[in-house]
Amino acid sequence: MTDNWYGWAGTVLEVDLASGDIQRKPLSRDFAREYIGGSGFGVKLLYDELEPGADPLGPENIIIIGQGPLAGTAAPSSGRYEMVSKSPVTGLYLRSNGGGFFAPEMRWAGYDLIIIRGRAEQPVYLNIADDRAELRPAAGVWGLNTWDTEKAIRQELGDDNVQVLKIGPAGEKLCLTSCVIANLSNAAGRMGTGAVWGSKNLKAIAISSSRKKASVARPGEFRKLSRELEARARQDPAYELHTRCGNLAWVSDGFIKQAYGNAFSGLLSDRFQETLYGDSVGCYNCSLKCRHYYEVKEGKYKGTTGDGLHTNAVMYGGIILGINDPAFVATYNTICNQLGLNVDVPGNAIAWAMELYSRGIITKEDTDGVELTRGNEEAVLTLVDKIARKEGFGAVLDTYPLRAAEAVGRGSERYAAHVKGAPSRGTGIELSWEWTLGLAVATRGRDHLTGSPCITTPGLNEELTGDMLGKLGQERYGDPRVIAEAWYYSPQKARFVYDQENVYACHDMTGICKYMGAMCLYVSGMNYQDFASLLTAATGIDYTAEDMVRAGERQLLMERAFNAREWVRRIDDHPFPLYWKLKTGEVHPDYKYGGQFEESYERLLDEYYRLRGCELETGIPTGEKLREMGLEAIAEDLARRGIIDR
Amino acid sequence: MERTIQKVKVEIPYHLRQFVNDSAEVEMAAVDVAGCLHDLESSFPEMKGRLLDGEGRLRLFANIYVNGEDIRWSQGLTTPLKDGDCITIVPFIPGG
Repeated sequence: MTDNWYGWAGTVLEVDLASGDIQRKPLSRDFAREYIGGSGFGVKLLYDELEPGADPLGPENIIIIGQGPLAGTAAPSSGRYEMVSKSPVTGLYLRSNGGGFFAPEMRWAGYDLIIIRGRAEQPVYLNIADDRAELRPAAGVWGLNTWDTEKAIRQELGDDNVQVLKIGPAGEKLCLTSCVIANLSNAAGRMGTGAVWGSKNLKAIAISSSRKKASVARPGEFRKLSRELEARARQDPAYELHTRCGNLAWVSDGFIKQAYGNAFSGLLSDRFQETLYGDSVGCYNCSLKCRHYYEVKEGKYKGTTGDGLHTNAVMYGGIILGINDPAFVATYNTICNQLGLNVDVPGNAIAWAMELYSRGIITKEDTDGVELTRGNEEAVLTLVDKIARKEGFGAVLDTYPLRAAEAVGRGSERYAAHVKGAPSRGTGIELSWEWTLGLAVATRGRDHLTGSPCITTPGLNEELTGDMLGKLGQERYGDPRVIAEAWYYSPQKARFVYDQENVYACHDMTGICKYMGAMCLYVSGMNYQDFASLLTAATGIDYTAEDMVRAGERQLLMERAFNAREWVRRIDDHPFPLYWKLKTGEVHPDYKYGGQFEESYERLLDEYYRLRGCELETGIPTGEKLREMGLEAIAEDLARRGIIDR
Repeated sequence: MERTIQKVKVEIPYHLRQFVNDSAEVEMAAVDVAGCLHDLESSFPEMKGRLLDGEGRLRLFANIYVNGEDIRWSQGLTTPLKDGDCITIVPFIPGG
């Protein structure tokens, strides 16, 4: 079945958990060429299969795990898989990307896609070994944390190298803050992925391959391209920072030094390196090795081990909670990974509760007796555990922001910032025009991984960038200020977000990590031409840079169409204070944005919609644009439902 | 028109309170936001550099609100103050 495929493996594994039926089906060549892989496959399948209004935690929801034609190859950092489903957090499109070694193993075992439907009567796990796939009882691992689950499954299968994607107790309890984890910490973390698995009684997917090789059409050319891209990445000014201490060195250090000074000096990357870190560790074929193994060697958290501690753990397990101890942050990170919780959301929800507590909106009577003062480490760990078990006040926090604010009431919603129901810190009006717009228009709700230009945040690493951002702005947009000045207003800021979204989508379609791309490298991140060249050499099909732009556009249009078919409209593409104003008719009591800011934002959003091919009034893709992109069926579907004009 | 010094309240975010004797808010007297922030830095030296850079410009990672309005979208650091105004500092928090 797969002999004459290059790049793609050529096979789709379809699993019906209700009946236990498992089928291997050929991948359609037209589908593969058109939608490329990973997130591109996922959004098309989800749109076609799932009716609007479907319950994300019902048996009708589907789990799609896709990897791209570059995953598991010699291309740099080619170890990513994409999980696509409908989110129980927002009721919208969900895509979540994970690293580690699962994606290459899946590719080598011969699968481009795993599609899971229905709900098993009893807990199961899916075991795949090359051409063989079976559902096995998971009663023995149900209730175990993610690390113990992996160990137990490897022991049961008698194979220490099998790759295991799994949920923890949080996913089993259908926590909205739950995620799916590969290895120790490689989470497909956002938007409640773990709960979708839990709702289907799916504990894990174990996969192994005897081949350890992905076929490409032009091996010599592919190796040469890969070597060139690797060499180019190593020349990037940001490369060394990443290898030294992951994103702590280039994100949180800059903010901590400037904004907080000594208040959070304990969370600078040097402190982690001095006190906790051991060897660095990378995902498949990645020289950046942005993670480190860590071990707490003394104090009350002594004995804690783990890996994959990123800026978000520093922020959500430290700064936002008023905690300045790297050992605590490491412990928070490990506990979240073991319980199968997304590292970001529990801390965010607890910080919200701390804010309410400090204002007297909630008291110990609401928090099950927990003293929710900032900096109270014991309180945080108690609540993290309660969230994962959906106990008492933890069950409320698990539904942060919207349902938690509704449950608490008493005006708490004004502190529960969100975009499309996905939690946001602060106002969502952050750093620059491109960040603010990128976070607000993101299709899975407030999210910096869809289109916010991360590395090019002005002022973040000025010693390193010098006038580089100005040069990039001149080169890309004919105006140095577009990238170099945070709040310089230009319609090109919308194009900046549009470009980032498209190129990020190329990463997620092909299986390449964004850290090796435009997200984290200033000038050497992979661009459209790089993706086209690699895909051509991998698949034997000629792709151009224009094809890649188009592929990115198509993906974003499909995502927007999926969301429009649920409930998303223009109002939902606004940062929290403006959303509040539009929804309630009153300015937000704490963040009274209006006037020039509001006018500028609306003009920027108009420009973004024009670039995307969306109606200015609604933000929904136009029929004309959908047809231009070859998405006639989606145009017809939206028209049939009365969402757009024919 | 000559502007006079006004008494205002500055709300200090949790993250910076240790620099102002653990106070949640401090009272200042100033003509405008720049004056208020300079005085804040003078009164509490550990605050120096947190909100304004070496050239007296507002740091990118500090958002300042006067009665809920972001000064970036009014008159910036020259935003005039009136008696009883409430100044809120919201530092950006890193992470995704």
